[in-house]
Amino acid sequence: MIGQMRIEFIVGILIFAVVIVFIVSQTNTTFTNLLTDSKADISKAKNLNSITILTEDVGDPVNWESIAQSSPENVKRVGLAINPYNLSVSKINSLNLTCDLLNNFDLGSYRLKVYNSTHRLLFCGNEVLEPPTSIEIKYVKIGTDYGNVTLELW
Amino acid sequence: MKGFVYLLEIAVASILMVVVLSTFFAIRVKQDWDSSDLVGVGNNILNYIRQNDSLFLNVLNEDFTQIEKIKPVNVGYGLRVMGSPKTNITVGCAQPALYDYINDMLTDAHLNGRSIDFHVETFDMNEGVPEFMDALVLVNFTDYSTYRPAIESYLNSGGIVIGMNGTYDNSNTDFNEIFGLADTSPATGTNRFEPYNPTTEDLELYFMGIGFDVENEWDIWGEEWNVEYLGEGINITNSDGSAYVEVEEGEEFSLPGHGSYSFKVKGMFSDNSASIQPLNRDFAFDDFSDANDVVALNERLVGTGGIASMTANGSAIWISDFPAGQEYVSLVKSAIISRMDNWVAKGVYTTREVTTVSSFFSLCCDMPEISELEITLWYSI
Repeated sequence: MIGQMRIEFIVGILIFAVVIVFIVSQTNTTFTNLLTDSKADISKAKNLNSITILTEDVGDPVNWESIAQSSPENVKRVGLAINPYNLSVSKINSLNLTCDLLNNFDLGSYRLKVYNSTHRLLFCGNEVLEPPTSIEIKYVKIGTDYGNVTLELW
Repeated sequence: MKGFVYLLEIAVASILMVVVLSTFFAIRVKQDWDSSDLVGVGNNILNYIRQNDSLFLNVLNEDFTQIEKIKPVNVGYGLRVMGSPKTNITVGCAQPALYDYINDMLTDAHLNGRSIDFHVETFDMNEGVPEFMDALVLVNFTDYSTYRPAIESYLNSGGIVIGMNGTYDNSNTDFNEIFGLADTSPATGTNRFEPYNPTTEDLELYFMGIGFDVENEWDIWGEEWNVEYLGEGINITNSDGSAYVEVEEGEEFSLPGHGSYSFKVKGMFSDNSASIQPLNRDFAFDDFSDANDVVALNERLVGTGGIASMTANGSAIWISDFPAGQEYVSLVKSAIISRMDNWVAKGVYTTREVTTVSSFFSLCCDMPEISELEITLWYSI
């Protein structure tokens, strides 16, 4: 009978192989999901942080909009607010012309839009059509009008 | 048989591995953002309302149009206001014959840039007090014994009962127990507010805040004054024209013969009416019609010495019958308003998990008015 394998050995190898395949496939799926979830969480946190700064902070320096085009390197932080949730039209207009200032937020791929009750006042970022990883909308006062700020991240 | 045992061992080990590893693979790191998202939505709504007093006044007026516009469609919400009265107060009248008297008395009150409207509706006391009524006003009512269960049930459900009665029948146990009164010997003297303590009682605050709404006549301290409108001011003249005072909107003044008390014209309105505010916290009331023969077992609001002319037993407020005069009318309005400043503007109707966010708002300038607006949110879909 030398040269012949016992049937239980063969079955054992098969079961072992199935378990190994299961572990490998599940590990791959699990870590892919973990990565996706983690990215989504980071994106959401970054989005919340950024839109909070944009809608509640005046920026640094306070009058950054006056130097945004002439010396953007001196703008440390962009904020659109006069006071929380009350946005400055001049800051919105200035940022609309100097979207690169948002690079300090390290947003990656993003789209920022500001609307008042009738018009879009600001657009910065990508014109992509993919569904975003995270989207945040804040309703604000803009001058004497009301509107909203939308920040989408990919 | 030996091979079969091996197979069995392998199968058991495999099953155990799969079970253990499945548990491991089921671990997820994704955060639950539902609650924090709702906090964000709530904060945004409250900060949005903060941008304009009129948006907060809309909430007090139970107009939620703006909130409906900005909240996500899959989010439900409820609102509670603590510190500001609602602007539309429904008052129940169980005595149809006295409807006109109560309705004429409860004219609109003006407070911090808004009008507080009273809507008087009659109902049948035999069917109990409808819960949608914010307050119940009883004038010289004599059936307290018959309707005590209905009145107490209404009080227990958060209602307000104002009893305007002489106390000559204060041997009535039910009447006394509802309002927290006890018989005592009569006394005389100038009736005034109890020492001001806004942490426990803000009736005086509202009395000073809403003041007196006058048209062509101002009846105070038993005297009738004629009020004439002069563009940016008013001319207040006594009945025989021998004394007058001319004052502009926003100005302080004293009535001739009552120099120790100051008033302010806090507002003039296009329908030839004005709102006049008393400025003295020791404001004096002439004697009530039948006062000063009871003491308060709980809280005395107005009185002289140890004797009460107006008392509170929680939301059951008794005021002695009184003569004509707008100071008494303002007392009644203030009594209702003071018990109306913690209320549900929009109920929370859900069994789902809710998140609550609140913020403080302030209104001025007739009186300091700080209000907490609490918004409760949940995912409706």
